Amino acid sequence: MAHLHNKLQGRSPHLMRWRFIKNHCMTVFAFFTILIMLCILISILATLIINGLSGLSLFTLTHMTAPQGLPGGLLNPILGSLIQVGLATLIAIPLGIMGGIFLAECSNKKLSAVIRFIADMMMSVPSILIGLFVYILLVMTFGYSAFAGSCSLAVLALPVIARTTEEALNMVPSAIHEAGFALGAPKWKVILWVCLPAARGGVITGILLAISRIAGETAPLLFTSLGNSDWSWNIFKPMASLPLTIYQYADSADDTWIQLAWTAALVITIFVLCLNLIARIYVDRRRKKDQ
Amino acid sequence: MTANDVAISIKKVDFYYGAYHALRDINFDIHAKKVTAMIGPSGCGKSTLLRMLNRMYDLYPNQQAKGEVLFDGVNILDKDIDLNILRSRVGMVFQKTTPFSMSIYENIAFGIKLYERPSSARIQEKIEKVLRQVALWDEVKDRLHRSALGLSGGQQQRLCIARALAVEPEVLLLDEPTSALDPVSTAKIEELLDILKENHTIVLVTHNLQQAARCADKVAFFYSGELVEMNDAAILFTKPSQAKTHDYITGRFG
Amino acid sequence: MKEKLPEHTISRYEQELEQLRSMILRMFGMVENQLAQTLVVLKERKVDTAYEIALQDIEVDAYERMISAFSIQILALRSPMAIDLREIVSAFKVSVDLERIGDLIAGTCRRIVQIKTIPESVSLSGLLTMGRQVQENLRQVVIAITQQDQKMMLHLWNADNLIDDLYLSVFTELTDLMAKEPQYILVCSHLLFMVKNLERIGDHITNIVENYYYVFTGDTLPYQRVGPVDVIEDDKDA
Repeated sequence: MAHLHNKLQGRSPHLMRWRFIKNHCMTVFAFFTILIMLCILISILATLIINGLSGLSLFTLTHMTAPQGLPGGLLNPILGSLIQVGLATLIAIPLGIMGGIFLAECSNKKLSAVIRFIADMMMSVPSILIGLFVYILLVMTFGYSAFAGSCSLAVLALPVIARTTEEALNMVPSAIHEAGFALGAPKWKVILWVCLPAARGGVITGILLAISRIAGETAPLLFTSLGNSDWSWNIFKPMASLPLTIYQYADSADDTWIQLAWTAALVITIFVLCLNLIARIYVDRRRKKDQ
Repeated sequence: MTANDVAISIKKVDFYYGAYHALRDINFDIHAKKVTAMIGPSGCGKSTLLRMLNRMYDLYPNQQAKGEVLFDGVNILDKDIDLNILRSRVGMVFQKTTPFSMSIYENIAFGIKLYERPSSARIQEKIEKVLRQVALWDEVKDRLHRSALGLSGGQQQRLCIARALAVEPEVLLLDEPTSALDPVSTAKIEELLDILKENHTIVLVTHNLQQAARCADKVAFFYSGELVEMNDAAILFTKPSQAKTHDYITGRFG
Repeated sequence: MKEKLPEHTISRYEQELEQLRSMILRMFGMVENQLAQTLVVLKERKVDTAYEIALQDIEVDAYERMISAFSIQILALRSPMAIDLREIVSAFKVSVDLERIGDLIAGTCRRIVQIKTIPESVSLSGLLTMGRQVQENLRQVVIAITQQDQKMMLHLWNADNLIDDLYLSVFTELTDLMAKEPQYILVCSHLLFMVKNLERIGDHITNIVENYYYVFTGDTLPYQRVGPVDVIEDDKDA
């Protein structure tokens, strides 16, 4: 290395020196930017863990929320979140995948461009607007319900799934696509049985990302599932959820509630983190299997 | 030469990519149960012609063909041809290996199930038959239900040929099938072509002149969208009649 | 094929073919020279230098081996097609013909050495005429090849008939002499072999012409060009 360096310097010492300085400046700069971002991230996580961990116990996880002053847990918001996010995912997956297929395979370029634009818009719309939309659509006639909450979450997840599905399908080599047709298979079979399995990794990653996104949403739930301090299995009634609980408890004057809000925040973070990990591990395993 | 010798008859065919005139007035016959190789520099139209024979270009809206391609007495360029039936009779293998991301078994079963509702025993039997045909059976019989993506390049390409054969086509189109393979895999596929031509008409596009010389009975040389010369391989490679063919095969091109 | 072909994209290949051509031409030059010297020896009846001429054949043999090896090398490494393929295979065959010609000249020279003296009363004019004709044909072959002149090749291919005719007349001339003057039988039988050698050289020249005709046209000439029929074809060597 030193030898090479000398050799290069021998060519034009001044230029090489200048390059060397520039190179190092950029490295240091890049290093500091990533350091700043890491600091922010670590401080968030650290605050969460320091404040939340003390409240995280079997008791918290297995007991319902309680009125102020009584010992309470987070069971109903956790279950509520799981149910609402799960239901939202069930609604969003088929619709999102179909939408993605349409975007990727539609031969009408103008139409698909318009729809793609709308999907991108939907991804950047403030989530509270989505909540309002569902409020007007469902809540005003049927009242607050977990189902309405799921719908608003599904609306949020839909464009994410659709766009990632589209991208995953576009990544499928055209030769694979053509090979399906070359066997004489009709278009729907080629898309469903040839292209979609080939795009599986991307689609699943997209779904997991969409779930992590909606798991932490508070705003759309405010106007739809409202929150509930008791437990109810009925999805057509108001239901508690973690983000709502955080929203309510964090603002209160009761220390145990504030503690529970921290714990709830930690639980959501761990959940999202796990989903991300699963997505990453899944993608890695598929890549290895394919080689 | 009797009519039975001709599998596909190409008459006055022109092809356009949008406004670009990619093939001009092509006329020639593809002989049944022979290997016909199409050679020529990149962009000469040989792949275009190949993709016309199973109407692959139909997937792309701005591509169109004019003229007549007679297969079994029918002009396959006709609008009302059933493409799925045509493609089941004219199979295709691509330059890039194209295993579907499913198991080896399912890869082949996919094609079979398109045309019949066979029992699983029948599928099994047919899979074994085509895999033996491409000399892949012994290599994969213990892992039929593992992902096809785990096979080597040469195995994947033979699987693709097996998959095409499972549909029982009469014609097999191969678009540079060995350009990504090592010499041993290439030799296996060339040997396979030699066996397959007993029952199939084979059309091969290749950039490799030696491959055309080794495998083909007939060779067609294309240059900038025109068919320059078509003849027996032995004649075309020793005594081509056109100066352009001559310059191309002896390596005297720019 | 008179017009010049465009050059190969791979210039090293072009150079190799050029090198092969010049090796063949060099070999032509060597046998031409050998033949010319031999004819001088016969004309001046200076028997003593014949042995040196015979020795030159070693170099011709070496060249034949070099050309064989080089053609095989090009075949293996370049996978030639069409005219290149024909030219390389022909170079291989022509080098063998030239080597045979060299052998035949050397054989003639060795016979001259054996006879020691050729009596003045034995006329060599027939033999020399034939020799000069062979020499001329050999010279013209080189011109026909370098100019890729197909007409000239066809002409040369037929010109071998003249040599065959000369052979017959010299043959009869010598046998007549042997019948009349038995003391010359030994010299004359040696001379007979020499004439035969010249006739064989003519045949090899026809082979060469046939080969190059194939190189430049891709067509083979008909199998049979009628040669001298009434003489027993003793095989090649002298």
